[in-house]
Amino acid sequence: MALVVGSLFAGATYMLLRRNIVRLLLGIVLLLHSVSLLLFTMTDVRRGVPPIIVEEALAATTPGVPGTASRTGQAQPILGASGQADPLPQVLILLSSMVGFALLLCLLVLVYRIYQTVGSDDLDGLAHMDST
Amino acid sequence: MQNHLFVPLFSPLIGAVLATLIGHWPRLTRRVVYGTVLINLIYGMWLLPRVALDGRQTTRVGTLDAPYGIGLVADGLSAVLVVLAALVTLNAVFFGFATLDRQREQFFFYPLVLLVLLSVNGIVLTGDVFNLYIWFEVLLVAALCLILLGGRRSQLQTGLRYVVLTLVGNLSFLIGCGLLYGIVGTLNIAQASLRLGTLTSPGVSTILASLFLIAWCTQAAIFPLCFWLPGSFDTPPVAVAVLFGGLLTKVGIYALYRCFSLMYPADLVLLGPVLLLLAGMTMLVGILAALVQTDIRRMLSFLLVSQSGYMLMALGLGTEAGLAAGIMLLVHDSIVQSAIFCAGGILEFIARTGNIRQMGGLAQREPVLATVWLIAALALVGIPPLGGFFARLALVQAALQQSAYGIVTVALLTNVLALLPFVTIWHEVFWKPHPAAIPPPHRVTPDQFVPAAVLVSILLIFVLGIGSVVDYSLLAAQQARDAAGYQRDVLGILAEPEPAER
Repeated sequence: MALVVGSLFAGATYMLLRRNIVRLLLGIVLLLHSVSLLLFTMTDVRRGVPPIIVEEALAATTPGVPGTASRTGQAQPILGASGQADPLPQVLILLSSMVGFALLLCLLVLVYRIYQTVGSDDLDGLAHMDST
Repeated sequence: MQNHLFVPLFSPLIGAVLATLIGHWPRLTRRVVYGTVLINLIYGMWLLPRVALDGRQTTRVGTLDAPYGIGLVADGLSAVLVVLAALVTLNAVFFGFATLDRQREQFFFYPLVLLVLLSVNGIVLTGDVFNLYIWFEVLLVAALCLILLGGRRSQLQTGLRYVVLTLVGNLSFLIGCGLLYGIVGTLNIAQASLRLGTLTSPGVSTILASLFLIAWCTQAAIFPLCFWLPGSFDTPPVAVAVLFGGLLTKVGIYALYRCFSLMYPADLVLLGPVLLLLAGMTMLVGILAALVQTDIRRMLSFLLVSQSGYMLMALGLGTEAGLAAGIMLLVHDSIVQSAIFCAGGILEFIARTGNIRQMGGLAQREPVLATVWLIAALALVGIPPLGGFFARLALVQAALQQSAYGIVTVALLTNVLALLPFVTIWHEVFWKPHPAAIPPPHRVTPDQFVPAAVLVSILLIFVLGIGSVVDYSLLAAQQARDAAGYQRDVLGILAEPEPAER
């Protein structure tokens, strides 16, 4: 997982540094994805444990979000006493990808306008300020 | 539970929606927008003494209590920013009303301005790190649209630069949020500050602090990350520059003040020299770049960069006196920057160009405007008896207490150098006879002039009430640094350290 995140970051940085404007856009997309993945790996990822709090399990644990409650112990996996995964990082991913999506739309419009004005996808074409 | 904290969030939101819906009737839209901003201003003025007398105001959103639910917190620093945001927005709106062409005005200028106001209020009032991130993104989108308003080629270019640099900064903040959650298991500022204090390995929190630092240095236009700023101020309409000059870098500074004094007090000691170094470089680079510009707004925007350096320096000192001086500087700079962008915008508007070589003779033609410009410029540079002097005096005193002689030298040198661009402008724009080849400038109309005059008179009031400003900023700094009190007020428990893992 760490490797995937790392290589995504590397790819994103490479893309961001390119002159081509579509690559720049793709770089941002990759960056958004790698951050989401990073958020996902922040907690212990387990197969087949949905982050859903079961009613009776809730009563057994300390009140509040179960993942955080168990965090006071040392290197335990981040699971509530009832065994569900910590839902918060996934909420964070959901929110941040929503925000990222909105941003991406803005960027797409911007890039399209740039393409219309400059007539090429080369960032250097923009450098000539307001020559008209 | 003080539910009045929702006022500065809901009023701009409702205002923005309304302004979008009735955008076809400009007069009605303006009234709605003025009303909304005025509500914010009045609310801020009411919040200011209340925070001073009753201490922190907190409330929660939804039904969950503090560490799990998302809370709103207002202390002295936030209250100051709420007032400033409303004030600057009010002037930008007035100025937009006077200078914008019809097409741009109808193209969602007012809703976007209100969204900027909303996100600034959100940033200063939230008690949750992730929420802070979301508000920064809202600010990013709203500011981007304002930069692009009009869609000239240079605007497209700066818009792209702004969005890419700021987005990378914000994503660094998001990574910071993720790591913070992984390490301390919370995103509530109060609880995080509680748990970060008990971490056994201090290196971890330094890494977090650095990630946050990168993010907000981008927002605050600190040196290696400051190059999005100049273009974003001189290509969009002037009213946008007035708004940005007062707010855009200031929220970055606010976030730095807030998180470093609450969450990373220990790392502040460690990172202090780095902050001072960055601050010094920002001041020098900003001022040197300003010296070689010939476009009036570009010059002002590089000066704005160098002012950010002072505010970072105030944080880097790591003392309460330093922070208080920083807050004073923040307040003063926010007002003075938007005043000077107003005045500079008027100059540009009547001369039809931003190039100072093509202006001239304005001291004779427009003596009142010249006076306003002069007061704003002197206040910005910090000539006594204007307010900037007192803020800098406090800052230098705080630095000398810490024996930080190097940064004091740089700060004073920058201050002397800051006079030079203004001397150049004064000479070129006001004293030099008007170049014969160029048609004479327009006259200033009163409605363009009012915002600048109002801001300058606020600056003068600032000087007269300097005693209470100093008192208030000391109080705000004390509140901002009082982590235990913050935890107590937000979490509603007596702060006792609980063990943090990893």
